[in-house]
Amino acid sequence: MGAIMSRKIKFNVLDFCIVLFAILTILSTFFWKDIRSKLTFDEKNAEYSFIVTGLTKEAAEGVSVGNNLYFSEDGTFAGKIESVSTEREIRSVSLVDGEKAEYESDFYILRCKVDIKGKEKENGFYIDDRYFTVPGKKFSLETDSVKLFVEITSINY
Amino acid sequence: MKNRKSVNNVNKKFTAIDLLICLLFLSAVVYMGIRIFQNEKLKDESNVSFDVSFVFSEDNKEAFKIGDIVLTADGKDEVGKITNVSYSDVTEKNFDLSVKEEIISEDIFEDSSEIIENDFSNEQKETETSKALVTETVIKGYVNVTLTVVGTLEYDNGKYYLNGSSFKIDDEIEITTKNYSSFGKCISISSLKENTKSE
Repeated sequence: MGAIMSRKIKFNVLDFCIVLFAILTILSTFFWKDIRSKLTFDEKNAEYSFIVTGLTKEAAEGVSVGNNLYFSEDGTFAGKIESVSTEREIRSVSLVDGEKAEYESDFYILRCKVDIKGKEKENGFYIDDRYFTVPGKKFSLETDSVKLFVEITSINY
Repeated sequence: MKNRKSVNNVNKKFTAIDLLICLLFLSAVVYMGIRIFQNEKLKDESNVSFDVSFVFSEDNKEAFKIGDIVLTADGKDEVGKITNVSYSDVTEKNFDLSVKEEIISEDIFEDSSEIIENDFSNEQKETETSKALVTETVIKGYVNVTLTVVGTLEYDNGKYYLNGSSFKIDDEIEITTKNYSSFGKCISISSLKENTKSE
């Protein structure tokens, strides 16, 4: 009877190992890209700058140093704002004689520098393994109070 | 003997754990099957050459260079290579009112000389006046940049795909390299048919 019991317990442990192995195999198949990325690339600090045009005064004033930024798409953390500068947007109109006249519009230009952690891969810098970040890229970001359609102007990492 | 019989019974029993193992392996097989099936459903690939036009500020006109590798928008896959970059002025059409004033004054002068014109000459004059009125001026500080990209795009049912979306001439597409990314307008696309392959 004792032999039967011990044999039964041994069988269960083996089963457990097989189940565990099977689960790990399946999970690694699902997440092999993430696992590879985590093992291959180290996280590093970066600083990127962006510009936003056509903002209202209220929206421009709603962004300040220390604000956290998130990608509107999925709420991924996009960094912490380190510096902010705003200026009135200069626009131009064509006059009837063909000349151009420039004027200060009611809209604002916002420039920010943001600190972020990400990974440098073969082709460039990624935020959260998903957002390929190079100058010219446009993202929809938001703080707790303002939504911004930003254009990346530079990135240093 | 009785004990031996019960041992055999225990060994033959199909337990819940056995069922779990079967389910796990079955799901693994199904998952792999789905992946393979999806791969089979991937669109054909076609070697193409396409031109994309951008308007850049003067100081940013060299954002894309010949030889730059074009990537997908997520930066993960290569699409092709920039084989040519050309620049042209950005222009706009303006009404030159000074020309109109000159024409009006000419008309007054001609009227005073009692020159009788037929309908045909009037129509011709109107066209000439319209042409003279509209002038093309160069917008300073901006450059029209046109890239030629030679690479491989997904192709399905007469549509070329880049970044998961189909595009044709006049559509906006995102061109991404290691150094820069921007949306431009596709102005031409042609297949390099001899190299078309299927995945």
